[in-house]
Amino acid sequence: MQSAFAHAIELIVTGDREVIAIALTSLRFALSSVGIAALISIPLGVLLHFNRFRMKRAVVAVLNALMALPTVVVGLLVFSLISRSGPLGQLNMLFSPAGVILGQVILASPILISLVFSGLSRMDSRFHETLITLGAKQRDVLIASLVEGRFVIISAILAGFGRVIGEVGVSMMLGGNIRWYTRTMTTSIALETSKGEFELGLALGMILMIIALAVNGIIHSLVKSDA
Amino acid sequence: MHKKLYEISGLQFGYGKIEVLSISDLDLEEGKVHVLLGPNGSGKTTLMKLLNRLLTRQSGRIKLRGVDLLESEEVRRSTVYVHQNPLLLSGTVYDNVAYGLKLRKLDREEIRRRVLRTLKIVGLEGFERKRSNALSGGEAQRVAIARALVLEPSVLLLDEPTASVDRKNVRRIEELLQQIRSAYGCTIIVSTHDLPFAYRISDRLVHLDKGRVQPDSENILKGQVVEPGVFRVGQNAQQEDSQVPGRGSGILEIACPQLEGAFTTAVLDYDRIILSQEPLESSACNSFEGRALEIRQVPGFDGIEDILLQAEDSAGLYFTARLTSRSRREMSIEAGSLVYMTFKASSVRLY
Repeated sequence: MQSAFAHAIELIVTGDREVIAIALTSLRFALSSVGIAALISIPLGVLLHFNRFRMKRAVVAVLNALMALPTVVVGLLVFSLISRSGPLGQLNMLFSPAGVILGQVILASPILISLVFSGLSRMDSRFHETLITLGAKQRDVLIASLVEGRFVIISAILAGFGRVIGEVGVSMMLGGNIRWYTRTMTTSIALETSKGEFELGLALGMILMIIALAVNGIIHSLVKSDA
Repeated sequence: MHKKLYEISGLQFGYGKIEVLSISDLDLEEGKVHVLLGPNGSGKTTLMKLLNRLLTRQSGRIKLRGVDLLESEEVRRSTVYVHQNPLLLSGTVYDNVAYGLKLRKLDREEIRRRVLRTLKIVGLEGFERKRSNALSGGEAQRVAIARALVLEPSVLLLDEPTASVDRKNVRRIEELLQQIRSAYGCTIIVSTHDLPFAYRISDRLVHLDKGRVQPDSENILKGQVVEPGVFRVGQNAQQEDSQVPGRGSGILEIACPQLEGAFTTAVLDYDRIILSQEPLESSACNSFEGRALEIRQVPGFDGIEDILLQAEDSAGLYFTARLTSRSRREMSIEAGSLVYMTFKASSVRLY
């Protein structure tokens, strides 16, 4: 195990081509999916905060539950949609980056909507009143809320990123773990470990840890700044 | 004669089943400093938010310059509310004060000119670049006031402006309110539970208790102490060269307790004034001739009346005395009657 660890460090330090490719694939998928999820989810989170409707509490409860959706369940649901026999089969998304990204968008969206909504809800009630009394219209209130709540929104995006970069189920089921194509850090770790070859898995695991720590560090410093 | 700014009738408001406000009739006049005085939970903040339409009344009517508040376009243009502990937006002092002006799409030069002028008025010249989260409580309060003032509202609503400031800054806020009044001529509505502050700044006190307006019960007289034990009352009383009081001078001197301090307000309860048809021989130092102008039933108190009196010695000075209807009838006091007002120096409270 000691030599596997040393070999893993060597793979990172020497910039092994495959390690780099896998890490970049993971980052590409995660950044794309979080980007798309943010475009859809942030406005939804804001709308949920500013609007009153009958089923609002139920919607919030469902969103909170969906935050803990198992990745294999999402993978399974999307698989059934985009497989050859599924309704979206002709799009040929199965075992492609598009399929993985689609699954990860579905995974990240409830987290973003929920965190944006709860973050805005925790904003001081005087904020809204202050803007209204100074003459702000609905649009101005929305923009000001996004500006004042920017740390909340960034934290939500980073939380979504953290969720998708470390998931296995969606990437495996929808990407197929194809070498040089859809193989991500997590699917690669799963594969290499099952083969008994730890070096590559360890190397990728270390990179994943560094990314996870970096994301958490940024969230932590944002929370501190916001306070 | 001051015009009516707000007319409130039959107002009811509550949170859930808890009734917070019940005001049958209240008018607030233009150009005056109105103080809503009452303990915590008396409904002051709720009333102020209703006047600014941050809350919507549940029944009754509120009119702003004759127009129902719910339909009024003017409420957003000309009234601004400042919270008890105001929330400043992130950014600099300049960003905060300029915010409302940017919403109104004024040009940059005009915004800059107004912001700097307003910061000077509130005593924060040179603070433009300071971060809003680096201010003291008193400074934050003044930035919030500047943020409202820069919009040149005709009505400024200040909720407990002295609640989170030290004694030194309370005086600063009093001076600031006087400056605002001189510079902008706006109507100021202030809520507070600080009695001395309320007396010193108010033209009209509205006592609130458990959501209901209590009948007025105090004469609030503006002026100054000219020598120990003598308070000069009247519009011209604070001018240094004000003349010795005489008939038609608009100035009256009353005997008061001999206290040290720069007092500007004397308060005399309605029921401390004794009325008589002839001058009263007594130990009381204050005795003036007056003419009854109006007799009003005190709401909620059967058989008690307030009589509005004008001091004969000095035109424009008014007092209100309170007595039972029976006493008034026995003394044959009617509107227009000449009466003598007598009260002790110790009845006068100085602020």
